[in-house]
Amino acid sequence: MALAGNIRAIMQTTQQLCQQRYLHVTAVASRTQAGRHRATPRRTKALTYEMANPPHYIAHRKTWNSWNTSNVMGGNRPGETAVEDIFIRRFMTGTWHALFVSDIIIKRQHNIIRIAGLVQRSLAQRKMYFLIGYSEELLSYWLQCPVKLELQTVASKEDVIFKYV
Amino acid sequence: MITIFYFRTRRYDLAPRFGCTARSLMMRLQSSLTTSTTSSQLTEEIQIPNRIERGPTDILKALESTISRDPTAPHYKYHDDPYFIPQSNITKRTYALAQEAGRKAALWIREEHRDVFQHKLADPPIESFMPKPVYTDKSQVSENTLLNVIKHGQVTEAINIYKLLQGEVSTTSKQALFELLCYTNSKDPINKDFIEERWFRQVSSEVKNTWKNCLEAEELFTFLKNQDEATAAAAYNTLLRGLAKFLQTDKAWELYQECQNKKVPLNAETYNYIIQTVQFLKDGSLEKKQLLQTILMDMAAQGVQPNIGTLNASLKVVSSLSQNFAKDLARSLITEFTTIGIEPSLASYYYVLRIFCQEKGPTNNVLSEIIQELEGKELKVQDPMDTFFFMTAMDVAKNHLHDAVVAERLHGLLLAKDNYKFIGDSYKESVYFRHYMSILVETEPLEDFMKIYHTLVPNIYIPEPSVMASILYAVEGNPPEIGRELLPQFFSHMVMFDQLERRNLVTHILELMRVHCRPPPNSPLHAQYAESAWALWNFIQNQRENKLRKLQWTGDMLGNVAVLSLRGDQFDRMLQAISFLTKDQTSVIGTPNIEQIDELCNACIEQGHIAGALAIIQYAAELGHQEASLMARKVYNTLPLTPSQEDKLVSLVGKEVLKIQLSVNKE
Repeated sequence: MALAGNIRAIMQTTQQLCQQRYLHVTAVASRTQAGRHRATPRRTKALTYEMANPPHYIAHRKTWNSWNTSNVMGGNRPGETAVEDIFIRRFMTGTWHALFVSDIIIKRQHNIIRIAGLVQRSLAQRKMYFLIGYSEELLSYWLQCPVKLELQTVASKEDVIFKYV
Repeated sequence: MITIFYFRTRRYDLAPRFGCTARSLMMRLQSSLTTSTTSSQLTEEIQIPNRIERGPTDILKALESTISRDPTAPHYKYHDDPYFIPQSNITKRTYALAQEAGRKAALWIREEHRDVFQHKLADPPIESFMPKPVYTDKSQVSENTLLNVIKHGQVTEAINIYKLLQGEVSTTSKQALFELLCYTNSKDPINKDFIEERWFRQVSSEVKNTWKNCLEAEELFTFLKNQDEATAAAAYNTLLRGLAKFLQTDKAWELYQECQNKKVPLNAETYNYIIQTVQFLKDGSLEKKQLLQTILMDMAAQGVQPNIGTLNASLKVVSSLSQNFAKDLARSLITEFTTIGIEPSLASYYYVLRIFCQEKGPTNNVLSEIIQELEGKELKVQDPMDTFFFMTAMDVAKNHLHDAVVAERLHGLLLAKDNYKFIGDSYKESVYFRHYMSILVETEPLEDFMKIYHTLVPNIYIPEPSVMASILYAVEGNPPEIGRELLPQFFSHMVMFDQLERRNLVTHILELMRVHCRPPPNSPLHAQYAESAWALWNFIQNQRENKLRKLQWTGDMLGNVAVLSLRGDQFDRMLQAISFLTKDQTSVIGTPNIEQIDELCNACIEQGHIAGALAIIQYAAELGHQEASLMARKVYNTLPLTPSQEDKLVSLVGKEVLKIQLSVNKE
């Protein structure tokens, strides 16, 4: 009887183990990381408001960086629009070297592309005006539609920091 | 159906309110509806208006006409951010041209790397976004490309294509090219996309022969004049206009004689250009007048119908005549042209003003009549000189008539309808507003002037130093109560418009703050004045060493800064100014006047600041002011001095002065 009782006990534990194994859901599989910033040990990483809010807050706490109707049903040129947006972002960050302190917002309406963002005032006004004229004109030639810049300036980079992580 | 549904849904709140059922209400409404429709059907028929042809941009123009210029915002060519908004005339110009320079750089890159800009995204392709094609071989070009290039006014390109085609084009194309070359003087005109460059361009008033001899043009002319009669006549007309336009007058006149001998028919435009050359061909007024009449008679003999250009060209010649010829001739010309149905344009009025309202001549009120004539009319651009009218008219209103009412009416005319397009360019605009503001500030009460000042400054117009000077004189001419509040604002505007370098302005405004507009005691304005004065101190002290037009301290300015700081309870700043005055005497031009020194000294005595008082007395004594001894006496009597300070006082004004006072006191 003692043996039978022992066997039953063993059976029970193995059964429990099996059940646990089968029902286990791994933490790794549910991990989402895109658009989230990992905290540093001393909380020294500066984030803008846009960076501080993870993607699920889009349309709740923050908005999109690209505004267009390409991706709605029956939208026009979705792929081309995405590639052009990447081109515009790279062109702007390169041309306005170390000047943009926010993300570049691209808004498309009809045939007009409006490019918005925050720049810091580390360059004289007339030089910025030169860059405005240059970027608008060259992007117009490249994208073959009117391009307008809608910039706002901030005194320094620190002005756009929302929090440190 | 919709009405029934609507009333059914509203039944519950309608019924109790009106004390009737919903059904009866509905019936009443329906019956009234039917009766009204039948009665209207009986009385009038619906007339569908004819379709109005609209251009592609008409809707935009209609929308644009609903908004007027907002004087509180900077011009829309500037970026909407505080950092990017220009604050002075120089920055307005710099920012706009910098942006255009950027556009030019982009254009240059596109032309340099034309191979990578060949993609076609837009459908149909938009030519303006594509690089201009370059033609190097005959197979690439045809007569059509030549005509297209001519249509867009690309001179160099047209010559290039013509050379590639080796002249194998039809006679009409040759004539078209010849016209282009003569019209543009074989030079590429400024790209019409660069509006800022045209707006800020300084047009030199120098009149001289700029005609460029172009080999192609000469070849074309020799070819064209040997063709059939009509072609030859067109060629003669074209060359004559070109020569006359670019003031190659002798040649133009020779050619004109040749045309007359060969009986080549000339048209009205050609005659207009020939008339313009008269003032360069003859010297005396009588000769000019005779020649003008000869040409006009010639026109009549040939049966050429004159147009508005003829009137303007003739008036231009007349305006260069001496007074006694000009006025009668201008009058007869205008009456004669009006009888044949040619209304004067703005350019004609511009010449009329130049003829009748000369600075030395007697006052003539023709401008009021012109404004009377133009008010309420739709003005059309008819002549390049139309843009000179408003500038000159305001000049006349200010310098000839000295009449603010006329100036106001003229300004009203400029703002009416679409007339602002006649302002011309930035130079003419600023001259116009300079005269406008000066006449207003000289004649209108200061309060009324300030209303206009606030609408125009700084977004539409920024006053030049001369206008600022007359504003300050107006403040001086008005009772101090009015000017008092305005001075800090004018000062901050002077800072904004880079006018602190102007010594006359700075001296004047400080003097006004100290004397004329001195606020009553305990007024908060004292603190504001002190801040303005200290802003000037900082500006002058922080000027760069190697600056070209450095503003130097004058004794007067420094004295005023000290006095204003003192009145604003900034005693430390006053002492700083005094110590600068006494120590750096070499870098200060002139000396403060005795009133200022007196006030400063009294302040030091009141505050019990012995060192400050002694420094002032020393300075006054060195300058040899009589009052130094009075001040010394006052210090001696009121302040407790240490022996060394007493000694110093004695060494400055002498023992006797103090002693006299001592003895007087003892008695």
